[in-house]
Amino acid sequence: MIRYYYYHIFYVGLMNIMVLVPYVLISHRFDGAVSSFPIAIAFGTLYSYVTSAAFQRFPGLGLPEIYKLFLPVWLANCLNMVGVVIWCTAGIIVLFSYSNTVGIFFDPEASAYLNLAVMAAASLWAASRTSRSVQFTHEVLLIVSTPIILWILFKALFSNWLDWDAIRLIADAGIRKPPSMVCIFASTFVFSGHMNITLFNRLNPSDLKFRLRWTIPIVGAFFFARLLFRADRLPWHPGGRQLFVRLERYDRQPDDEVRLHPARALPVPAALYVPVARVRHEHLAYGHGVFQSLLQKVQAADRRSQRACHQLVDLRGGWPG
Amino acid sequence: MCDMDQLKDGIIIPFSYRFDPDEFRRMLHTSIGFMKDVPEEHWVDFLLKGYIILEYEGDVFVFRAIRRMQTKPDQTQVEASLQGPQSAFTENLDLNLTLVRNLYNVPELTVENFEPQNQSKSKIALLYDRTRRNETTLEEVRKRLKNLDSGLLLSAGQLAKQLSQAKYRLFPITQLTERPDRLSIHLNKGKLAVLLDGSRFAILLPVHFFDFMYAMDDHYEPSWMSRFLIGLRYISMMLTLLLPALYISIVSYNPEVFRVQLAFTIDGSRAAVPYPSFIEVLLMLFMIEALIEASLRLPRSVGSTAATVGGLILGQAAQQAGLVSSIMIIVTSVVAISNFVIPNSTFSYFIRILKYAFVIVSVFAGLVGVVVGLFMLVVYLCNMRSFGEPYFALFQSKAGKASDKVQ
Repeated sequence: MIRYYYYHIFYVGLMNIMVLVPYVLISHRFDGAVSSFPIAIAFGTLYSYVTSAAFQRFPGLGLPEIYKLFLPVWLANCLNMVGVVIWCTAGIIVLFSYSNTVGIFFDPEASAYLNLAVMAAASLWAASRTSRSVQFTHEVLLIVSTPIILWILFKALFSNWLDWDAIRLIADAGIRKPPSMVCIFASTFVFSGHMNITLFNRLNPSDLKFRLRWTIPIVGAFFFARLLFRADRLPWHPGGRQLFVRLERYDRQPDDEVRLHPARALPVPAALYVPVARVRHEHLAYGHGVFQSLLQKVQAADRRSQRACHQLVDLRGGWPG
Repeated sequence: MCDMDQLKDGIIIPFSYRFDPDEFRRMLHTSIGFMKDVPEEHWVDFLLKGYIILEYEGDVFVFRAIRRMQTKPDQTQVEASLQGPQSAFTENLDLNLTLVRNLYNVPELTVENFEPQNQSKSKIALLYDRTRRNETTLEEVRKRLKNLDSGLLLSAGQLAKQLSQAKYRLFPITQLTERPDRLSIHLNKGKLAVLLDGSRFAILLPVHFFDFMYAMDDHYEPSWMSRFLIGLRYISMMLTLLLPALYISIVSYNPEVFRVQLAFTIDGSRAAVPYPSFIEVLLMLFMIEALIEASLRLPRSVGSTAATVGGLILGQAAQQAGLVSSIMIIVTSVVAISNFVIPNSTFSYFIRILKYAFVIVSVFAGLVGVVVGLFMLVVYLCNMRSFGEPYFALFQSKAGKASDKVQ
C-alpha cells in the first residue's frame, strides 16, 4: 500500500520539473538556483516526513474529515473551500499548460480549444471516479510510462551532443551564489507530491507504516540532476524564455547522422507526459469531493467517512488518541 | 425424455417375468433409484425432467430414468491446448461435476445446487473451495442466482450476462471456459464457478483483465516460452486496438512521427487514393468485419472460399483500383490477425468493437485524441470491479483486500 504514496511523489515531481519549475530555476541559474537545490532537498524531505507522520495518526481520514472532526462546522467548511480553490487552481493550471504543450508539439494547426476541451473532458470524467480507482490508474500509467521516459532520458545522457562543459559551468558558478527565496520555493515545489496524502489518506489502513522515506531525497536529487542536464546549452543565453525547457531539450535531441527526422523525436515525450499529467486530476477529485460534502451532506461517501471517524473515536476513547 | 433401457432394467423386468411381490416391495423401498413421499405438486416437474412415476400398493414412487446424451467428456473445441488435458465439459451437469472433482480432488470443494423457477428449469451448480473463497463475493453471487429472471435460460453465456447485470459494460466481468483444468486453477485461487445443466461452458467469476490473456498452455509450456507468448498477445491486443487509429492520425495529422523516407513511402502509396484516410480505414475495416462474420457463419467448406475471394482477390483488386493504399491492406491484415491472437473469444469481440471508438477520436483529434482515449480506457478499466474485486489493478491480492474495505 505504501507504494501508492511514492507514486504521488514521483509523478508530481515528474510533472513539476516539466511545467513551471524549470522556467523559474533556469531564469535564475546564475543567481542561486543551484545552491537552492540542497536546501530544497532538505526542506522537501523534512516536509514530507512531517506531513506523512501527521497523517499517520489519522488513518482512513482525509483532510476534510479531520477538519470536520475537530473544528466548528463553519470553520471546517471555510477551510475546505480554501482547499477547493487551491487544488482546483492547481489542477486547472496543469491542465491548461499541458494542453498548450501538446498543442504546440503535436499539432500546432489544430485548435487550442479543441485540445483543451478533449483533455478537460477526459480529466473531469477521470476525476469523478472513486479515489481507489484513481490510485490504480496512477499505478498503471506510471508503470507503463516510466521505462520509456527513463529510456529517452538515458539516450539523451549518453549522447555526444550533451555539453558537459556547460553543465559544469552552471553547476560551478551557481553553487557559489547564495540561494534566493524564489529559487528555494520553486525547487521545493518538486517535492509537493506528498501533499496528495491530504485526500488519499482516506484509503490508508490503520497499520500503514511509512517505510522507505529515505528515498524521497534521492528521488528529489535525481529530478534536480535532470534539471541541471537540461541546462546544458543555455549557459549564456538570457534565460526565462524557454517555457517548456524539457521539450526543447528533446527538440535538440541529436539525430544519428540525420537518419532521423528532427521532429520525429518530439511527439514521443509529449505523448508520454500526457498520461502522467492526466493523473494529476485528483485535484479536481478533491474539489469534487469537498463540494459534495459541503452541498450534500448526506452523500454516501460522506456517511462512510463520518462512520469511520466515529468508529475511530470510539476505539481510541476520544481524540486525540 | 426417459431412457427405455433404464425403464426396462429398473421396473419392467422386476415387475413382469421375475415378479416376486416381497422382493419387488423391498426393491422399491431400498433401491437408491426410487424416491418415496414426493409431494403431489412436484410430480409434473419430475415427469418433465424424465422421471417415472409409479404407484404400487397405494404408495407413489419416483424413479430416475433420465436419458443421458453424454457418457464421456467432450473434446476441447474452443480453447485448444497442445500439451494440456484434451477433455472438455459436456452438456451434462453431473458429468461436468465429475470432471471437476477428478482434477480438484479435495474435500473442501463445495457444490451448491440452484433450481431457478424459470421456463427452462435447468439446474445450476455453484462451485467454490470453502477454505479459500471470499464470503462477500459468494453472498453476492448467491443473491444474483436466486433472482434470475423467469424467461428461457438456454446457455451459460446468457446466464453470465444475467449475472453481470450491467448491459453496456465495455469488458466482460465473467469468463466462459470449456476446460475443467482452467476451472480448477480458478477455484484454487479462491474464486467461484457456475455450471449450468445443458451448457458445455462454465462461468468463472470474479475475473481480472489479465485472466483473459492466458491460454492454458501457458501453465504447461516452459516458462520463457509462455512469457514470450503472453507478451506477444499483449502487443497484438494493442495493435488490433490502435493500429487503424494510429494510421489515421499519422497520415492525416502527424506524418513527422516517421522518418522522412517512411513518411514518403506511405504518402506515395496513398497517391492514387482519392479520399481522406479515415474513409479508407472505415472501408477496409467494414470489408474485413464482413469477411470474418461471413466465414464464421458459413459452412466450413464454403468458408475457406469466402476467405480466399475476400482476402486475396478483393484486397488485391481494391489496391490496384486505387481505392485503398497498399499500406492500408497491411494494416487491415495485421488488425485482423492480431485480433485472433487473443485467446478468449468474448474478450476479443470487445476489443474488436473498441477499436472503432479509437478510430472515431482519431478522426476528430488525431494523435492527441488517441493518447487521451488510451488514458480514458485505462481509467475505465481501473474503475471496473468484477463482483467487488478490482478488474485492472496490478498486484491483485493486496489491492483486492483494500478495495473490499473502501468500496
